[in-house]
Amino acid sequence: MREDSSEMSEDDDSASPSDLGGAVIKYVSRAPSPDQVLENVLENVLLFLTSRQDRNAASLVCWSWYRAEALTRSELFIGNCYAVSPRRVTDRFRRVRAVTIKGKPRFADFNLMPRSWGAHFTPWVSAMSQCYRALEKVCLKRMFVRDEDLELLSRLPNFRELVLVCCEGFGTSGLAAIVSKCGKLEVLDLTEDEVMDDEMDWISCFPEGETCLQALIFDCVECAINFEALELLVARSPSLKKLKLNRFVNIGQLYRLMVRAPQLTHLGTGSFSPSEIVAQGDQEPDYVSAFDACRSIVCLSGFREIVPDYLPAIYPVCANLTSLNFSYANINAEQLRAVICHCHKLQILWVLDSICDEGLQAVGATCKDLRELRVFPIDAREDSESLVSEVGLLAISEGCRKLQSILYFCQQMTNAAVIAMSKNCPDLVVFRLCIMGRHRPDHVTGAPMDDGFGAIVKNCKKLTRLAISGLLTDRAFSYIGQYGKLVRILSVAFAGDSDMGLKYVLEGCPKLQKLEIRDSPFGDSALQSGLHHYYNMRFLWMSSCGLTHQGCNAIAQQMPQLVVEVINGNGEEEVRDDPVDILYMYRSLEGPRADAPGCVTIL
Amino acid sequence: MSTVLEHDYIGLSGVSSMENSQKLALPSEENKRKNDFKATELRLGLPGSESRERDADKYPLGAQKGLVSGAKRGFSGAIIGGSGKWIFTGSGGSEIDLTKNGGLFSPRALNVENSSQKSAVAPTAVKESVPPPSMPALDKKGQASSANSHGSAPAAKAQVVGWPPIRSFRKNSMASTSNNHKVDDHADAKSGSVCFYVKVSMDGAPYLRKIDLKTYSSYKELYSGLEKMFCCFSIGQCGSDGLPGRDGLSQRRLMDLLHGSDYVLTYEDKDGDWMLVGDVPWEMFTDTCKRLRIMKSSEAIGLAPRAMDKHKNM
Repeated sequence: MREDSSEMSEDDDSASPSDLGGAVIKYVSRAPSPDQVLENVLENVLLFLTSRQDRNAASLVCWSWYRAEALTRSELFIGNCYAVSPRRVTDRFRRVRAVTIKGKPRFADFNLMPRSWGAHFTPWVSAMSQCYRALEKVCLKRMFVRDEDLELLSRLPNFRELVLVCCEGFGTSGLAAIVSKCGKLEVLDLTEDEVMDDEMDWISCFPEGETCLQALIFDCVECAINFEALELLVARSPSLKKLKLNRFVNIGQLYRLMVRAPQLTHLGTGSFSPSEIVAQGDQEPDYVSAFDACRSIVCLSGFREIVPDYLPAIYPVCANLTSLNFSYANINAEQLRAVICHCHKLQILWVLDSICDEGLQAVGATCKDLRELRVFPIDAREDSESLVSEVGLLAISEGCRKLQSILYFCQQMTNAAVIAMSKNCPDLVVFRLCIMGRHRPDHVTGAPMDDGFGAIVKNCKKLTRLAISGLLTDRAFSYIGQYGKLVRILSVAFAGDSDMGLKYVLEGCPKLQKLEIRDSPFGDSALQSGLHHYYNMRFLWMSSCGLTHQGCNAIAQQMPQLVVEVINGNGEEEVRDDPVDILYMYRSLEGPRADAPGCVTIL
Repeated sequence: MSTVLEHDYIGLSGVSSMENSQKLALPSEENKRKNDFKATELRLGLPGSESRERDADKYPLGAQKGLVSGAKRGFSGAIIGGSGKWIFTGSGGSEIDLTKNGGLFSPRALNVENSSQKSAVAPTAVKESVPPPSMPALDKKGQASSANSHGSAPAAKAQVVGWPPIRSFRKNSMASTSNNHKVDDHADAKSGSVCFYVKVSMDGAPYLRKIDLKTYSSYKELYSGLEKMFCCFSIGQCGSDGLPGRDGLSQRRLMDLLHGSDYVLTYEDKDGDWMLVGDVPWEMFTDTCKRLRIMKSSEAIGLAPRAMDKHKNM
């Protein structure tokens, strides 16, 4: 849950057609001039510009503004690691302290992309470790990061913050390098990464003495850690505010840590179950008092192997909670209700559908301030039991009027409930509904889900992100094209009837940045209808649609600054017949990349 | 009838593995074993022709474990031609389509594949065979089923890759929590596989890796995945800048290695025995595999006679 780092979320605010604007112009060096004074003033003023959109605009004014901006930009955001090369970046921006880089497209998370595809951090870290010696912060999302890369980072003298989201390729050895060598490390944030177990005790590698640690987040690390070392580490980290444990930390150990760190604001509770069966009459720690002592906790997560009997321990902190992540906790409606009835300030809630519609009704009844809700399926299959439905969605829409973001997995839905939500929650910015059965219609009327999603784009005037599902005809797309004028991210799966669907969207949505489509009947002529817009987009993904190699070739020829990749999803190198398996295309200043594996053909 | 004979054959090894099997429904166990073995037998015909018989049986989800009874077949029966090497045809289309049927076919059966099998696998056949309950979204490229079912209610409910869109980390965590304690009754039947992450060692490599068997739906994918992981070790270079690049010269494939019989892929099963990978249907394998080892074939030679002895002694 990245409530504080909006740049890492998919819903980031960048409307960045101007990303490339300044970079196309080559920098020509000049002799010093009387304007130097003006430039110095400019630099000092530009220091106050923090938003990258503002900076992009400023850099386009004239040469001196371009130069001044390049010298004063300290935070770099690279939305697609292949859109620009490390060399070009380090040539332009000279004094960078923080870098954010995003690699693979989101559908790679669902095993649709071959693992060898790319997004290597190595060329970036090689360049940065030479050019940005003052680098303090690195955030990566969906990149392939090796232990050697982390080792290089660890040698930067001022390195303070490492955030890795959905990354892979490194192991506990890489972590050990970072923690042992970065004496000023403040943040180590590992979120949903795949970390290899090299059987290295990285927790013990923190140096002796007081640390600067403010955040230690390792709930995704699927290997046991040295608890004694962790306890000592927490005890000597007075600035520690965020601690998210992995599931190898049991509740007894959690207690010991909480007692040492009552100043925590964000806590990931680990397994939240005892290490072995606790017999009757066993002396157990007073978990309630531990939570009671942690009066600053506003964000609670973990509960990876929860034993619900221990849930009442968290009651003391519920009243202050703004963020609660129960998305790994298999609890029922009653158990949720007992907790949620105290959580009046809750703004972010992630749950499993094990709470059923009744649980959602309890949420709607109490959490009047809720901004973000995510309901995940405990059994992620198309034909699993239906635990939440339109009833739960309706209850949420009626109770949580300030809702801005929703992700809802379900087995059945009705247009009526979606329409109701569009009217009850006008502030919606993100609406993602996943009806898990493919092509499933409104289960009451049997109609396609067109009207429901149509109402969302029409009534939710601030909507920027949309994910659609269920039985959908071209009409749904016509609504999106007609009303979705602010939509930036659109996810489509198993939807539409013909090329018209895609055409409606490409012609109607001027702000579209990221379009990801799978298993929908869109072909070459639909692809042609987006030529006017592709340079404004971060990427287009189309897999298992009706595209031919010829059609993709045509696009590649017509748009020279677009990299058009045709990918074999199974990682095979063979040249496949039409239709194209995966089309992934993105604007780039660099042309075809050199590190593409055999399963990728760049047209 | 050949099936009866094979049933007896299976029965020999079935005795010792009884204790491994969980949730075996006794009255239908005979039928299950028979049908399960039928699924693994060498076949010359098209899969479509036989699938209906299996359909009638409709394995309940919990009976997944019942398949374990067939897990340990004698070594000689498992290897075509008795060459002692792992033979894996690796020809793309048919194998992938066959695993759509829930991996009930032994990879051995592929050696007598027909090229026409690819088209013979109809979406309906896919639906009615065992959907692997413990491995969500692993069926490789359910393209045929999704393409066929556009615009109408789909007949096929085989799990499609990447659908529903849940990250593997979350899926695996759900599997592990429902294994660790069963709060709900509906969690029970659906938590299938015991193993997810298994260690993979390779003789000569400096450190081990861990892979998640759930992310693969066939032996072919497993090999592919292992190959990518270990290419850097076995045959050294991955390009001078450390990137796994397209340098064809330096990138020999693990599968080539295995073909060339330098290495053999083996696994340790629930009993602690080291078995050759590929004998049993994929689901059986993922249920019983505890760790993997890429063994030098000079060491693996002993594996065959030992397995044979096991068979004889039962």
